[in-house]
Amino acid sequence: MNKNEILKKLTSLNQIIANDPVDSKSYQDASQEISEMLFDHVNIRDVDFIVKSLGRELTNEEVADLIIAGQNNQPLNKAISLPTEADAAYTIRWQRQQHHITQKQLAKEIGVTQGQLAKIENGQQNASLNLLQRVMNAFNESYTIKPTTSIY
Amino acid sequence: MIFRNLTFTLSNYRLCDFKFDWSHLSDKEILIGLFSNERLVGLVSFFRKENYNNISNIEVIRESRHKGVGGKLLAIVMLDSFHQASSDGYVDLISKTNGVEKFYMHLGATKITHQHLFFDSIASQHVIDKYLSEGGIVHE
Repeated sequence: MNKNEILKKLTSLNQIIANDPVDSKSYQDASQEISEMLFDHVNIRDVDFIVKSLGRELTNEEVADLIIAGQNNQPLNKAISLPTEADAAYTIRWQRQQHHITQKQLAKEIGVTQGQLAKIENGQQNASLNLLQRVMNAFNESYTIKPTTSIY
Repeated sequence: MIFRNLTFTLSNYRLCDFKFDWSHLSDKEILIGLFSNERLVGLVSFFRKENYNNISNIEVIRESRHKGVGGKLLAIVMLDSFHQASSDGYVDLISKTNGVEKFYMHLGATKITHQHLFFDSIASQHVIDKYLSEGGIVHE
């Protein structure tokens, strides 16, 4: 489905959920479909991270962008603009997972403990610019710091 | 109170106190009933997904409302999620924005959209501690 089709579907399902009785088959089917549309393509933990980083619920348009990014195996922070610290944390985790490296292996390579890396990836601890550079060097990738950066 | 897995045995029980039609479960849908003194007072149905549980329906009979039955039903699904290999207590559900969602938000749910909510590991553990502090066993 393209973005317009996804948006149309989401709007239709939202209406069924809003208008139909909770015990109706139409409501049950719509609930199931709306959950699967997102989580069949995007890990619930990534959605958790994004929603909490943004500090607000998502619009249908953002949900559609996430679904498309998930379908195409693209990083979700290309679909939704995250706050700087969250963007860095997500990028580290995304790169690590794409390279099939464990937290323990990457932590050793960049000189931090596995616990520190876990906290950074979860957004519980900010990544220093230096650390971010070490991660990206390890993966031979580049990372553009946002103008609003407060990474230290 | 006792939990029973009613996925294949619901027809053995009288459901006159329930408003919803629980007789048509989808493939892979699991149904758990909560009994108080051998009386069925609440039902919850859910799906086990790859890394979370999805609650499809939850109902408490009228005279047992506001007695923690809904919380216990929610908690048993969360406990099940913790017991799955990759779910870590994650549970999602869809709710009408009619006041019911406030109950879920009060228990620590996070909103993805205005109708789609989820409980993360910490929120689920909180609900389990509150409603099933001594654990929960589902009898077959």
